[in-house]
Amino acid sequence: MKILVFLVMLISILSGCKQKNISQNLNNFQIQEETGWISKNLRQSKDILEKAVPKSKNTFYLWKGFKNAKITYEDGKVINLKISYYGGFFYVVEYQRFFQIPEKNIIEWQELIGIKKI
Amino acid sequence: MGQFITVGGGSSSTSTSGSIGEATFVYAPNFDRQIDINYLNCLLNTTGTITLPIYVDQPIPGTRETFTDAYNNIGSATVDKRSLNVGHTFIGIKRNGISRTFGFYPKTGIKPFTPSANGILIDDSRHSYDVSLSVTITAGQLSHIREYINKYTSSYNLNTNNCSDFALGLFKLMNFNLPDTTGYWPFGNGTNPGDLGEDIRTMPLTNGMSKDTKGGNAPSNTGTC
Repeated sequence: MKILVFLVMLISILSGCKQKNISQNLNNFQIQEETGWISKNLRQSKDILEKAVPKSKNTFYLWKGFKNAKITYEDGKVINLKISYYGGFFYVVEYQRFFQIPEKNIIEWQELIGIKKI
Repeated sequence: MGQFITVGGGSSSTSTSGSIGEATFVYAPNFDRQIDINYLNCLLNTTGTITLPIYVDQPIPGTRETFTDAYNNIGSATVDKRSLNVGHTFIGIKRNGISRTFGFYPKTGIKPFTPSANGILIDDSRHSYDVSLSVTITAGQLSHIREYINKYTSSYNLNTNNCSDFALGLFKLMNFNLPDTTGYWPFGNGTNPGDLGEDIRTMPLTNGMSKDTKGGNAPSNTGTC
């Protein structure tokens, strides 16, 4: 029984770790625009997404709309993102978890997702 | 122990478990998207017809639902409280190829039982919408809008002065009275994007008005001066 509990805890920890770097093995980062899914620059996407900080699963947000995005990994796995129009954070639907872009990278992120203020 | 919800974007807060009504709403936007008095300058420094669209991003497009979540669930019993989406109403101004878009948000924090906070006007370019209504205004009215937003110090209130109230108020200032239907949500009610969007879809147009019910993204900020 103790071994089973240990294994469950280990799997939980490992899966939690896996979610922390969503840019690992990223193959395509796309944002949904009126014309369809638009692929973003891969190098730029990896650079910024690896800086995204996962938040507690108990973080709550009240949204005023969002942009749809998705990440496709090298193994074909896809995760869906809801991106705040402020550009400061996004929600990964499959993980039910928010990730925050560090303040110092906000402008770079807003440029990537196309909402940079003039 | 307090519970926290961040509205619209910005830095995060954490919470314990609990119902929507128990939650404390906290807001901390990225202030680099706040607009100032210079935001509309280029529109004033040119000539041509001035178009004023009101954009509505409904929680569930084509319905009067006042809130949903990232999974499009509806109803307070089933929504994912981590990702509540109440939609948004915002304003655009276009003239001679120049475009500006902005909306009203809470600046600091709101709670269901104390749902008021300082307000802030944010650049809403590229924000998606489901329905919009456009009218034409005069250069004098544009100057009036610039003064209005420059002096706009009203508090944000989730029930009585939210993003939809701000947008309807601005249209009223331009002598366009749009329908104002009250919707309901846990522990509150008021003007809201769900009802406003449906009201716009069904309202008859008068001279100079046009409607877009297909939706899309609000334009980028175009034109410099």
